[in-house]
Amino acid sequence: MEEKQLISELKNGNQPAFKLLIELFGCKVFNICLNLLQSNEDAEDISQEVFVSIFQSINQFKEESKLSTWIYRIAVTKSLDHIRMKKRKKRFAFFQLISNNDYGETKVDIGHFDHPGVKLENKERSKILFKAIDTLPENQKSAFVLHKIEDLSYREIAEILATSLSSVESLIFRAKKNLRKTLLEYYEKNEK
Amino acid sequence: MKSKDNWIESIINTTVEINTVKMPFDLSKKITEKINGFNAGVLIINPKIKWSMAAAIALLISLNTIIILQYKKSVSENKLETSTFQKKYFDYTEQF
Repeated sequence: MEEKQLISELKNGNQPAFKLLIELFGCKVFNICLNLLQSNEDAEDISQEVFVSIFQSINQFKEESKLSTWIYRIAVTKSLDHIRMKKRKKRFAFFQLISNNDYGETKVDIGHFDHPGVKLENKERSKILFKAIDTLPENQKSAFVLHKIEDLSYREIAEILATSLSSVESLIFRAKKNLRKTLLEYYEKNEK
Repeated sequence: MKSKDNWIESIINTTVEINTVKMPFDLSKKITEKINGFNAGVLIINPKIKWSMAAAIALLISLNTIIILQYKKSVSENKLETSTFQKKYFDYTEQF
């Protein structure tokens, strides 16, 4: 089915068209969410929200960009929103801890993300890498993940993030620089 | 220094060795069910929101009940005051 026809069917609320949409884009959306959120459960939840959001707002899609660009943009936005929400909860829990003088067990994020797509021999390295990626600012993280892991071109990333090509180049350059710095600190700390 | 740089490069290059993960089968089923639910006019509420909504509704009902009870209490107190006042008034006027 051609993209224009698919969009038209989706706007008409055609159920088989939505099923086809999930088949075409489900995997990519899930992987984008997985790589940004670094959690299988969160990736499943947010992937569901992405497709529900597409279903609810397909009539507002102006077709100024490709359907895939629009879908991936929703996936990135929802993933980053979820990360922000989790950080807010952590901050709130921290303040509660201080105010209650409760020194019981707290959940500590130790960044041990075991990516299901990583080969066995690379597991340890990928855990270190994802921990480092998690320290990047949002825009650098998105650009780096979309380029290096999702293998999207700079142009595609610029369209998804609604920014310029030069901004994407700059984001990825800074992301690599920051990753090297973080990894260097880790290397020196663990070498001692 | 070189080994450090090599190690860092090898970590960053791990990204190219990450395979695409297949979407869990039951996930596509869940999404389809949710969308079918919307189509059927069924309101699908996030379970977390369900509990907060239930709590908010319970709180509203309790507050409402308290307000009504307080109102009734003040009305009955007023009535008592009025009847006490009336009695005193009639007692007073009877003197004359």
